[in-house]
Amino acid sequence: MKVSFLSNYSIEFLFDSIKKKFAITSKDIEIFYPGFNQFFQQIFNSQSELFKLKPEIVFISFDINYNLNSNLDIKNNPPISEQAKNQIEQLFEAIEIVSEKLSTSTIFVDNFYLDSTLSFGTLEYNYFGLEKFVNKLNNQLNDFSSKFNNIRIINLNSLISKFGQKNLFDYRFYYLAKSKWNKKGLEELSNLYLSHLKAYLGIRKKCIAVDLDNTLWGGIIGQDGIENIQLSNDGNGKAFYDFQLALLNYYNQGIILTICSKNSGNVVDEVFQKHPYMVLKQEHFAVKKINWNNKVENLIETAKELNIGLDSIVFLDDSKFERELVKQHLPQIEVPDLPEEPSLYASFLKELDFFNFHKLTDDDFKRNETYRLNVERKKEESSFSNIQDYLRSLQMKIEIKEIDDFTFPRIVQLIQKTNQFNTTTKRYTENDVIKMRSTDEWNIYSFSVSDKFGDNGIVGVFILKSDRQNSELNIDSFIMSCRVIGREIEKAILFFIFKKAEELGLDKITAEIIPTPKNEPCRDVYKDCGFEAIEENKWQLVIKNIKPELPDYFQIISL
Amino acid sequence: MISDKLKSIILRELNLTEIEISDETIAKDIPGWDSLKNFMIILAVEEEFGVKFLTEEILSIKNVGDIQKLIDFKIRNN
Repeated sequence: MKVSFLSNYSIEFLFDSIKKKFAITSKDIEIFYPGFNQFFQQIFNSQSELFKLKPEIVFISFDINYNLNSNLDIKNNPPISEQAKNQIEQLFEAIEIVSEKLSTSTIFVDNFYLDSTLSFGTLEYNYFGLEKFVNKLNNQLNDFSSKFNNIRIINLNSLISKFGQKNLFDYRFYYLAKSKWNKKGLEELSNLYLSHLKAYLGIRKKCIAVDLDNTLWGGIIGQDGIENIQLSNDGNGKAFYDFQLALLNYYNQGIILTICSKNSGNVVDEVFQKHPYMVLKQEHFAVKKINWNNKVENLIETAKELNIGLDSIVFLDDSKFERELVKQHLPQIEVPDLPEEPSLYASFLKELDFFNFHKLTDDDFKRNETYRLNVERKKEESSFSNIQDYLRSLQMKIEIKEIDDFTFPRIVQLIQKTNQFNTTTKRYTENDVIKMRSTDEWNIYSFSVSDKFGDNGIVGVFILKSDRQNSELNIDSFIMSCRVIGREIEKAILFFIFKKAEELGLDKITAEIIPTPKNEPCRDVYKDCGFEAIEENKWQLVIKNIKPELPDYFQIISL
Repeated sequence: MISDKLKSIILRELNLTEIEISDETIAKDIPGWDSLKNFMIILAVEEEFGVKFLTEEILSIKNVGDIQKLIDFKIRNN
């Protein structure tokens, strides 16, 4: 993956730590950096290396303080010279050019901060508005991110207020090497970039499994009783209240919450039902493992019931013993060391770098409900003696729809992060999808599934490529969320694709499986639906040879 | 004389396993020791020896021996 850095200071100091940190994305990172004095030359010259190279990702880190420093003019308000104003205008123009010329790349732009050495002290805000000027620039930059869909803003300003300039900067290097960042600064800056890269690549955890005693509340419910546990909206009980609020915040972003606690169910039920300051209610938890079994077993079962990988789980427990046990037996699970001090719980949780998003879709908001309903479905499934009867009882409706502006974000999200039922695991980016949409040969569909329990939302994507010359319809990708696997929905989708090929007058359907360590659940999809193998992992179905039937438990609605 | 600690910092920052370093060694003699690495080495030396150099002192460094001398000087005057 080609990554370019554009900067007006010596950002190459960052690269060592960037390369080390970006390794967790398991991508080969190739960095292009033209030097700090090349910033405008590279952008305003349409033949520049930058535009020839077309990096997938561009980081723009422009520190306006280098420009403001020698261009302060106290006769003006804001107290800067015309020249500085022009340079900054030029900067915005440059960002726009990069966004437009590299329309298939993603452009990350640092927002701006005012170096405190430039601030006018007590005059600031009262007489001069230099801070105000910088805030305005940040607002302008924000507007850019909504205007250009390939621009993402990096909140550098907030990083600097969090740690402070005195902790992040070393002014000796400002004079000697045109970079202010000290070791700590470089470390934190590369962490910030990594968070954004993870959001871009969809690298994130899906589920938080929490303990109860001394985690959701202070004290041990079985010993202390409901009146004596620490949980309230003031005093030290508020630390736990705030921790629950932070968890609720993740829940609302679509992170699944589950409980993994050694406790008696009825005692815990009482807390959920009667405690006035329980922010989280029973229905916020998709799975509740409240028993005296080993937590390792409980977590394995949790993953199974949710149909997610162990490596999608983050486990939070105040007990070092439990944490070490889980770390030892289930190294795939992320087990952060919760601070001993409950007043740090909430901020610790917020700062965990496992849940980075750039956008949220309707589906994220609904995800938790969907998982909870799924657990209910499973319970009902066990009351039927055969699977067909059960599927029939669900009264499933499948809605298939060609991509539009509303389904676009969810489609990209599914492409980016679905691991299990994903026939080829081609990770098309937002911009790839935009390109495909603009051609005739590619057709991208999403499908949603609803049943008597409720609406699952968009749960799958398939991408078709029609090849008139060879008279074939190729299934480039077939992706389905793990939460609907096992309901034979793939049969309905392939039925639809068959009808489509017929309608287009094509002779055959071709498809490929690209095996990955995780996509076992979809390996046999073509075999099970009557395709013949032409070589290993390449499948074909000749239209005139076969008459597929739609199982009677589906109703397909094509929009 | 270059201390083992200084030598190991230099090797680590340059991602090298072994190399001949003497008092007279200059950055140019060692593969990968560019101005960027130079600052990384200075930062690491400061952190690990618990010293802090002045801008002027950093500029006066001509060879590895100078770094050692500076470290010794700083530690003596602490």
